[in-house]
Amino acid sequence: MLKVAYTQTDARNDLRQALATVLEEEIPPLSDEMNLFKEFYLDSMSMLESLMELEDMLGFNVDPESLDIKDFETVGRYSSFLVSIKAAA
Amino acid sequence: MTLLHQLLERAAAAEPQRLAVECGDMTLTLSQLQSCSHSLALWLSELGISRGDRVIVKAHNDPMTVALIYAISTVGGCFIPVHPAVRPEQLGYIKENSDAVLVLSPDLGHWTAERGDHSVRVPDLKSISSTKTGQYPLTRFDPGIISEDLACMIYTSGSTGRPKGVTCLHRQMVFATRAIDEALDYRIGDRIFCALPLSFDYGLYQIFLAIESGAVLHLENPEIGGLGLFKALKNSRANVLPAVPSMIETLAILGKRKPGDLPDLRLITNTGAAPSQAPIRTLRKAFPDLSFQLMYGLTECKRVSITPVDGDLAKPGTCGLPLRGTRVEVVDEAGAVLPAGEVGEFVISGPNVMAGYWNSEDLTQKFYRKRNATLIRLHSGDFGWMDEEGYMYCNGRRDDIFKSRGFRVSCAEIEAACAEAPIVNHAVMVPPGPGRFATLFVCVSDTGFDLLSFLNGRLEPHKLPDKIRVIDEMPQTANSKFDRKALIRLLEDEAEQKTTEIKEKTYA
Repeated sequence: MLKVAYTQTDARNDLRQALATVLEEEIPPLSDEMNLFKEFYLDSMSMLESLMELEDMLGFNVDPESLDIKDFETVGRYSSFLVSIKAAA
Repeated sequence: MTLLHQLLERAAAAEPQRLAVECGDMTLTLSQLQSCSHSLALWLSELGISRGDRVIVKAHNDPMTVALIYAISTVGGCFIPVHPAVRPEQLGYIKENSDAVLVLSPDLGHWTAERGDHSVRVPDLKSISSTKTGQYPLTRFDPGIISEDLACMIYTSGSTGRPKGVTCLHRQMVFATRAIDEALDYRIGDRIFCALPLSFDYGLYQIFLAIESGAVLHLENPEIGGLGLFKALKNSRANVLPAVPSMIETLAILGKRKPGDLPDLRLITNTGAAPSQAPIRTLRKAFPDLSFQLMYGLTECKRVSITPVDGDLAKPGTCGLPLRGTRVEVVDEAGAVLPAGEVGEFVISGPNVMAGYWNSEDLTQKFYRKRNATLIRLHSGDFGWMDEEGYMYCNGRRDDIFKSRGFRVSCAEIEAACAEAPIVNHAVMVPPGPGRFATLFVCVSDTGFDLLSFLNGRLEPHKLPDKIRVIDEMPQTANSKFDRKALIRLLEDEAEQKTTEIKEKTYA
C-alpha cells in the first residue's frame, strides 16, 4: 500500500487546528516564521496542551526527555518537529 | 541583630568552598559569591549608593542577580526585584513610586547600571569571581545598617489600579528566611531547581533558603517551566523543585510517561495558589519516593503556613501550619475571632509581617491594621478556616484578585491599563475559573483597535487576559457599579451550554 508522506503543510494545518482547540478561538492560517509565544500569547502550559492535542490527533507519544523548548518557538520549527515524529513512527 | 547579607557572610565563613549557585556553566562557591558581592558593594558605593537608596534590579535568573542583591544589601541599599519582562511604562511607574536612584539590567547582553541619563557597565561577574580580592573587612564600607532598615521592596498587585511596593526590613526577611528554612525539608547539599522568576518572592527566597540550608541554588530560565521541564529537571539532578501549580500540572503530564525516571528528585514545594490534587496523586504514583510540602503565603508577610512533609495525605486540602513564632486567626467581618471550622478572613501577626506599602499610608492602614493604636495584624484578604489542630485550609481570595500561573493578578490593574487605551469606554475583568478563561469585557468606540497588543505593551505576559470580549453594554448592579458577578454568570451559562452540546454530540 502506498504510504502518503506527512508534509510540512499537513503539520502546519494540524498545528492550526490544535491551537484553535486549546485556545478556543479562530486561528488564522499559519506561516513558518510566526513565533507562537509572541503571536498568540501562548504560555508554557498552553504550549504543552497544544502538543498533547496533536498527540491525540496524530497518534504519537513524545518522550519528555526529547523535548526542547527551542523546537516549538516558531510555527516552522514546531511543524518540522511534527514531520520528524511522524516519519519516525 | 542579623542583617540579610550577614546570613551569606556567616555561611561563607563556615564553609567557603561549598557550592552556592550554579547556572549553565557558571558556578559560584559561597566564598566566591561573598567576594563578588563585596566587590560589587564597593563598586556601588563608589557610584554613590548608600544607606536607604532604592535600587531596581531586573531579576533575570542568573548569578549576577544574586550577587547584586547581596551587594545592595551590604551597602545598606534596598533592592527592588522586577520581572525581566517588565514593560517600560510599568518600570517608569515603579521608579517614580519608589524614587529609585539606580536601575540594574542585563538587557544589552551585559549588565548595565542606569542612573538618571547616565549608564555604566556593571563589572563582569566572571572576572571578579576569578580574581582574588581577599575578604574585605565589612567595616571598610559598613554604613551602620540596623535590622530596622529597609532591605527590599517587592511590587505586588493589590486591590487598586497600580502595583504597590511591599516594604521589607532586614529583621523581617531574616526571620522569614529562618522560619521557612526550619519548616522545609531542604537538606545540606541539596540541589534546588529554581525556574521561578527571582522577581517573584518565592523565587527570590530560594536564594536565601539555599544559603541558609547549605543547598545549591540551580538557576534555570523560567521559560523551561513548560515543555522542557522534565528534561531540564532530570539533567540538573535536582533534589528539590519549588513550584507553582502550573509546574506541578506540567510535570504530572510529562512525568507519568517516565515513571521512576527522576531518581534525584525528593521534594516538591508548592505556593502561589492551591494545587489540584489529581496531578499530585499522579506524581506520587509515578515517583513513589517523591514528597510534597504545600504552603500558603502572600508577599505582605512572605509566608503564612507550611505543611509538614506529605502532611496533605492525612489532611487533604490543607495549606499547612503557621510558621513557628507567628499566629494566624480566622476572623469574621466585624474582626471577631472565629472558632475552629468556621470560614473567615485570615489575619496574621508575628515577625514575618512586613512593614506595609511604600508611600501609601491609607492602604497600609487598611491591611496592616492596628488595634489599640499599637498592635499590628495583617488582614490578608484571603478566606478559609482552621481545624482543631491548627491546620489551615484556604478557600480563595476576594473575587477581584486572582492567580495566573501562580502570580497574583488584580482585575483593577488590568482595568486601569485598559482605561488608558483611547477606544475603551468601560472595562471589567473576570478572573478564570473552572471551565472559563480569564476574560476581559470591554465597551469600545472602535472595534478595529488591537487592544491585546496595547495591553501587552503595558502589562507583563501573565497579566494578559486569555480572551477579550466586546459587549454593547456593561451590566450594572443596583448601586450603579459594574456587575462582575453578572459577567461571571454569563460565562458559566455559556460553559454549561457547551458541556450540554458536547454531551449531545457524544450520545447522539
